Amino acid sequence: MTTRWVASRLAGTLMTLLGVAVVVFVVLRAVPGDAITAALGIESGSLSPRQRASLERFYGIDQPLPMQFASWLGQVVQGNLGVSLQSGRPVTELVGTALPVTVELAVLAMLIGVPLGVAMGLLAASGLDRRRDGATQAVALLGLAVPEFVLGSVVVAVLAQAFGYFPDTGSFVSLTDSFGGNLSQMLYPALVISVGVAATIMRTTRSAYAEVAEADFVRTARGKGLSPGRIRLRHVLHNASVPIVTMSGIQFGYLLGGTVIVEEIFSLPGLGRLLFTSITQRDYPVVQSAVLVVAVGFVLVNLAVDLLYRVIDPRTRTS
Amino acid sequence: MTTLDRRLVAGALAAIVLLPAAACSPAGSGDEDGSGAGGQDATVVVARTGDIDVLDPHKATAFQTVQTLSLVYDRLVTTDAKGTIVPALAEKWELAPDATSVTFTLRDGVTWHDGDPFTAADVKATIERILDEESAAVARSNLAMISGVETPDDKTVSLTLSSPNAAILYALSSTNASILHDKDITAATVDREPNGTGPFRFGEWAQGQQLTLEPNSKYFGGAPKIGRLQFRVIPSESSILAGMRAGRFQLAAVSDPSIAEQADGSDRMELVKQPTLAYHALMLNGRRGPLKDVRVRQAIACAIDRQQVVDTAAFGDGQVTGPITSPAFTYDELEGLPCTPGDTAAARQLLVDAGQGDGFTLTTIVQTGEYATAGGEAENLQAQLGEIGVKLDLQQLASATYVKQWLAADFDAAVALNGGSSDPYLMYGRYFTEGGSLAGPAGLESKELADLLVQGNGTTDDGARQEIYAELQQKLLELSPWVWMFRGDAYYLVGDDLTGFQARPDEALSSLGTASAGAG
Repeated sequence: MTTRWVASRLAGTLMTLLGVAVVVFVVLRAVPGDAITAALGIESGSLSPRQRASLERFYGIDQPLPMQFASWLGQVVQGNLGVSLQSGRPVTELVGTALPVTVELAVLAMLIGVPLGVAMGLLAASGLDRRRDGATQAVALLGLAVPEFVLGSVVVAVLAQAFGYFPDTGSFVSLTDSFGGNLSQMLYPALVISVGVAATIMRTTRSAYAEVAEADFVRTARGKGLSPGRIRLRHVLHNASVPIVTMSGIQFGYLLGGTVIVEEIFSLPGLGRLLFTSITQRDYPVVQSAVLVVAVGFVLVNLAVDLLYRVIDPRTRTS
Repeated sequence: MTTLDRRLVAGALAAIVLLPAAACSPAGSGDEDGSGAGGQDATVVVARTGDIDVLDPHKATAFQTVQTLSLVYDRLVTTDAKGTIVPALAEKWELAPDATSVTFTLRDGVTWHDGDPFTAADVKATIERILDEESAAVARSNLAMISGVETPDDKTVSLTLSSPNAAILYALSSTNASILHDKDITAATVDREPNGTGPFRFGEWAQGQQLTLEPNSKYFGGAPKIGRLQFRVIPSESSILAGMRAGRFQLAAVSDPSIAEQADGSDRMELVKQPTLAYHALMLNGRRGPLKDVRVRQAIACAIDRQQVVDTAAFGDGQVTGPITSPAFTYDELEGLPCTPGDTAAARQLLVDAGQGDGFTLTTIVQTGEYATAGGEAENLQAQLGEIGVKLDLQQLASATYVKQWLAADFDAAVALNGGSSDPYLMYGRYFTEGGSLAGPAGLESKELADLLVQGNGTTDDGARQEIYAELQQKLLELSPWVWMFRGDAYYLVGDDLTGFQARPDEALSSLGTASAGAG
């Protein structure tokens, strides 16, 4: 059973990735402008036909579209993600430096946002105290409503104005290079992102918890005289955790796609910015391969979520 | 019942409060870039919103790329802050009076960053590379009249021109005409390993993050006084301002007037406003509908109060300008128009005379995301022209779409920010001469304009050129193919610890070659 499950998952995954590749390729070509107009702007109007042809060769866009797709896919299958049209650097190298930034940012934001969201959700759902519920809900709504670019800009401006502090903006310092240096670059952006995560998780937790708390087995447990703390943790929260895990997975997968706005404000060289710049420059190989990497990340997160279900809820193991 | 809640909440809050505090200490004290050190070794950090895109100066058009590579490479000649041609790699030159040939005497003792001596062979190879269509050099269209390159000796280069061209010196002063080492051209390493003669050597490049230039101690103009030049990519201008306030950058270039407004009077920095050569215009397509009638175009030119556009769209930062923005060729910005801008009564009368008294609609393209004032300009123009019954149907387009429609002249009107030049011919030759590469988007063919441009470019006599280009400016205003509005300001945030920085109309950062850090 397990092997069949794995096999079908794997086949589905490959189909999904191929679909993603095709869609990205088509959409990229459908938007107006190519690498030449992106690089030269109105100066591209002054190119002679032979100059244009030479540039098309330089950017690898002189081949018919199906050929371009096939040659790119052929490389990807061999584990080579292609070469950036703009800088001539291997895409593997570009994605390789951007991905750790984004992954760390996403993990950090989740580490802060999920516990905070669950705690606030419990706070809102557990009491009969409507004021507390209302207040927590209002905080969550505010967290959802304030856009990242506002919060991020405010954080940067306040830090600079009040404390003369500005996140280090040299090259990215990895966690292994310097823990403090890395944290000084990553912490504030992670905090900004975690606000949205916490707000979403809070709302999911609240509704899931409230629903389970009404269930018969909770009343039974209470009747048996179990301590309220034990009931909440072992019985209610455990049973309410499936939607929380689902929502966390969705949030995490979304963050892996790159958090363009926060990366721009805090000038972090993550996947979001790499994608954004490459789209503006019509750097096709970079966009195509980076999106594929994001898609793989999303699929892996989904897989992890599915496996977690099986741990949390024995019923899903048999189906 | 509530103990668990309290523990959970307290834990979460502790995580939020303590983590930043823990992170602050290393960051707050970390001044590893040495910005406070001062003196010969001081690093000057320049913040800007975008990274360079290519390394080949002949293919560079992005603003950041041109700015950077012009510090690494030299031209035969260059311009000073007033737009006058001054020596660079060429010490002397002689332009034939009929402007059909030019001979350069090259500077002695110049070396490439890799140590090789600079010779006439490098110049010859460079010019040939620019003219070769295979290399797709953007300067080719301005230099295509070069029909021969001779190097009688190691220190002399003669160019023969197929038609008179007084603008050749200006064309050669462009970063796109940077002189390359012949060896690098042969080895085809130009777009990977920059090797110039300029005041800075290309150092390390972490794409999308930062680029380091090292001082060239053997620079013929004198070694730079700063220890190292670092360009940081900070995509958000409000973050750039925050970094300046925190003293992390010594220099920043910003474009958003509202950011400049906030920076004005801030601690640790000075705001420098520099009018640029680039100009904001409403381009009209005189090949379409009512715009074919010169009176209609004049009516539009008359109805627009330029200062109002500057005040509403650019926070008042900008100078009302006529067509020619070249510093050495300044003329009255309105002479030639049949009325005073903002005179709506006169404008309405012109429309009535043209039989367009009931007004009409113009499909107007506006570029979004490239520069901050485009949207504001478009809305103000819409309001002002509404007064005379000319309705602007605004189409806000992303850059790529805008460029595509602009090049295809697929618009009635275009809100545009066009590049200027120190030479009037380089500004308008490509729009208004016969066969000009941008004759389509120019929207109007005029023999009078073409003749004036060719005449002005055909003589080296300064007095004659002044007169001809004065007439060109008047004629452009009279025919009103476009409505010239204003030159915007480029904003620089200059840190207190940087001395000797000088902003230039062409937005070059050449003064960093002589600036020093650590005085503040």
